[in-house]
Amino acid sequence: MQRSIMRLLALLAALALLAAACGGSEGDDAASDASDSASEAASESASSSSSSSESSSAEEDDHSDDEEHDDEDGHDHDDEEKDHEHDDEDEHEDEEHRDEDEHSDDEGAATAAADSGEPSILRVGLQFGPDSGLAIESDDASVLVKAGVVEGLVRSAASGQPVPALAESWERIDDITWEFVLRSGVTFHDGSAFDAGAVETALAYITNVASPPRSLGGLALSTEIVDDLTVRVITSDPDPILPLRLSSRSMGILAPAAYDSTPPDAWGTGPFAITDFTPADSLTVERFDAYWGDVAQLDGAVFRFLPDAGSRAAAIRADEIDVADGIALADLDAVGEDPDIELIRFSLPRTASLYANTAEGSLADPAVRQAVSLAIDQVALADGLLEGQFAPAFGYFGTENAWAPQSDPDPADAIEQAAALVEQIDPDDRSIQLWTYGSRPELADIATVAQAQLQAVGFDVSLEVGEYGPLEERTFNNEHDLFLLSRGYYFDMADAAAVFTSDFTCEGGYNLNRYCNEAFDAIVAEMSGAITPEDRQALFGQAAQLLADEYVGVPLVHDRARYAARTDVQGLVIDPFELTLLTSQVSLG
Amino acid sequence: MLLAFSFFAFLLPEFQGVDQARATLYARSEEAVPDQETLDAISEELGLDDPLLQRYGRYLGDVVTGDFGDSTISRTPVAPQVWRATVVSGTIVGLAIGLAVAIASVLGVVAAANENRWPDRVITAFSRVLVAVPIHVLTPLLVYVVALRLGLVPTSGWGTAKHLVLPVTALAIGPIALFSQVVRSEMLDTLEQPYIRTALAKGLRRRRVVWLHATRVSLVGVLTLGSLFVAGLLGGAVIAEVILGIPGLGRLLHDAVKASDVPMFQAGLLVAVTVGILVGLLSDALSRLLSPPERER
Repeated sequence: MQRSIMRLLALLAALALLAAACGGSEGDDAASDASDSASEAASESASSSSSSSESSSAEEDDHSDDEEHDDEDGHDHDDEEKDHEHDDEDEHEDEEHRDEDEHSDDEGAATAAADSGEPSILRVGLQFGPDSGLAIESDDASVLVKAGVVEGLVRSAASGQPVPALAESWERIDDITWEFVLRSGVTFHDGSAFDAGAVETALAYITNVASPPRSLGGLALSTEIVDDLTVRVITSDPDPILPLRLSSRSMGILAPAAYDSTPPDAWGTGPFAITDFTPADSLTVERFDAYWGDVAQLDGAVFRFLPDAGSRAAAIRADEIDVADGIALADLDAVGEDPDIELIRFSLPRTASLYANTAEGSLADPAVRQAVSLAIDQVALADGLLEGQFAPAFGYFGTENAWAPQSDPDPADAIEQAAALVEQIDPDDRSIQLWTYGSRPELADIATVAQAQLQAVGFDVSLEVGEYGPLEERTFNNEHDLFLLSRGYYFDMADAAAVFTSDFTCEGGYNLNRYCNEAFDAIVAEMSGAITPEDRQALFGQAAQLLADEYVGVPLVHDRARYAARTDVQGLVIDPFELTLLTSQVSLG
Repeated sequence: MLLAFSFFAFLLPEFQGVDQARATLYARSEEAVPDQETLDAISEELGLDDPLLQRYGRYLGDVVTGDFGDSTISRTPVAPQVWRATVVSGTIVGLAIGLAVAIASVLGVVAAANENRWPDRVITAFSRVLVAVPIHVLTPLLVYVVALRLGLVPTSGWGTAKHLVLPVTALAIGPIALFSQVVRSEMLDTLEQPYIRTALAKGLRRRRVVWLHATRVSLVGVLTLGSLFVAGLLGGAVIAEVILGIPGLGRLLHDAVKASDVPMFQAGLLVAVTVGILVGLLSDALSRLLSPPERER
């Protein structure tokens, strides 16, 4: 037996040496392959491809083509230990494989580029694929917009402000009526013409569908056609932000004939049209030559749906895809060290927070909530546990909002103050349940550290990691103390009123804090009458301050987007709301 | 049995206490705010307002006529999606089990024929190590070594012969390790049987007896085991399918359960169970052909 174990170990060692030898030889080849041209390509791409770290990434005017991005700062081009995964020989082999490989024709085209006359196809790996049959009212609209298939009357600039898209201009006629002047010469992918009738059909569908998009927020829309290129949109209640609302992904306008099917066919007006869709596998688009704007530089694109983060990282490292989203923290080093890949990171409008039961239990007492708030160290969570890949949250809304808290409100001796407060709390009220769910992997880690931070000041915290659905139901039944969850605050548009209403008003449909304060509701009620951005932001600031003053939950960290793009991808623009990806300007160098 | 499974699948969301209207809304629009009007509209769209048994009866009636219904999430027919996923998983699982039976048979016979000598010890040691490696460890390891470092095959995806290599290997390694030990054990038992001893006593060469007679009998056990694995792997290959980006039945079932997409889940489960039953019957028939004692009985 001993001899057989020795033989087994010898075999395993031989296998490991073989793998190491293969890796080593790649590295050696790569070292000699660090040519000037590769460096130039990398630096050129760094200046032209989408990259925004921390700050919002694009400066906007009212035309979709004029967007510029700041350089990405997260990629260390001076790293001496860069590991070239793919040298020329590998690429040559890859191309041979593609020739043999029918399915890989599209993939091969991407790197072959225009020199060889082969079609230029961008290959994208996405974490979330469409699972609602590409229904425009569902989250599938996100993929349709990213793929450059669908456009709305209005689009959202990187600043969050509405700018023209299929509508050239708009005007508020009265409290409930907006008039939109439509762009002429626009054609749908089915060949039909875009006009006021198409807008009427699209908005009627989106208002009456069983599961209307989040961005409608319970609002009903009706239309009145003035002429072929002028349409009035009438809202069921006064809505000062209708143009912004119409910029959300699900408010895209499809060809009237598309609505004959259930769900509607995705025949939009964008620079790319769908040629093939296989659920749980891929979406293929090709250039739409009759596009009203600049015709796309690429011939097409393939979006592959790869739910596993490791798969996406491996695929981009192996040059099987050009762009990947959702790079996991564990893969950042390996992906970032590849000189042919650029990491694109920016803050996302998403916050992981402890939602507190302000209605029942010990946390109904503001002093207990204050102690919890003081005990939690957001900076330690973001910079320590999460290695700087998340940003500390000083409020539910991030610091990109000028009206939101901009710095840590906790005093230097917050821990001591928290401990002193806990001393004064009835011992029975020091026992706290902390719930979270496992589908977002960082949450369990955050919960464990939060548990330790709370216990350090004298709380007795029990942690439960479960399924989101049942935990949500128990939360709505006031059974929770603290529920840690991650929540997007600008899912569809950069206006805080929707989240303030749904999450914090007495009648809010997603009020996990079970918070009810007439003063707060009054501030939110005023938002429906505030038209100018300044007026709205003043109200948002008041609402945010009131939530902070009353310790309504504890915001912990803001998430960051982590994309990776191969350096030969040019003109890639990923805005802070992750709306766009494939545009007319994207090309392969 | 199929009827029982269909009823179980139908009741699963009820057992879990899942509000189907709410789950459907969330599956279509993540983090949507569920107002009652929307939930009522979805309930009406899905026919959730009818009593449970009435809904089940309606479902069974449709299935009998070949209509598996529409997905509650995508509102598109379930049957073509389940069929496509079944072909994908069936290809992978069929090849994996076939490969496992072929390799394990050779390894098992070699091990038994060399009992307690070095080939037996090496095969047994490898089997014990590999049977203990879980697929969520094995699959990324294969991706790293075979696809990323050696560049022999794509890291993920579906559509060509090369895309088969990683999933088939990942799914076959566990069964190879297990089956080879089963074949070895069966083989050792078989070699002790009177009819084998008789054959040897009649002067037949040991090599011929081992490879022609004993092997055939020993395969019966591994075929039975393989048929059991087919049904399990068909719906249970979800980890390999997710990691390798393969649109198979395991991933379809996983997504359907997550989204409470009852029609999709029911159809997928029925297919997996049906295939399991059919493969079981086929394996029984093959066993009878291969096993002289069975035929005599």
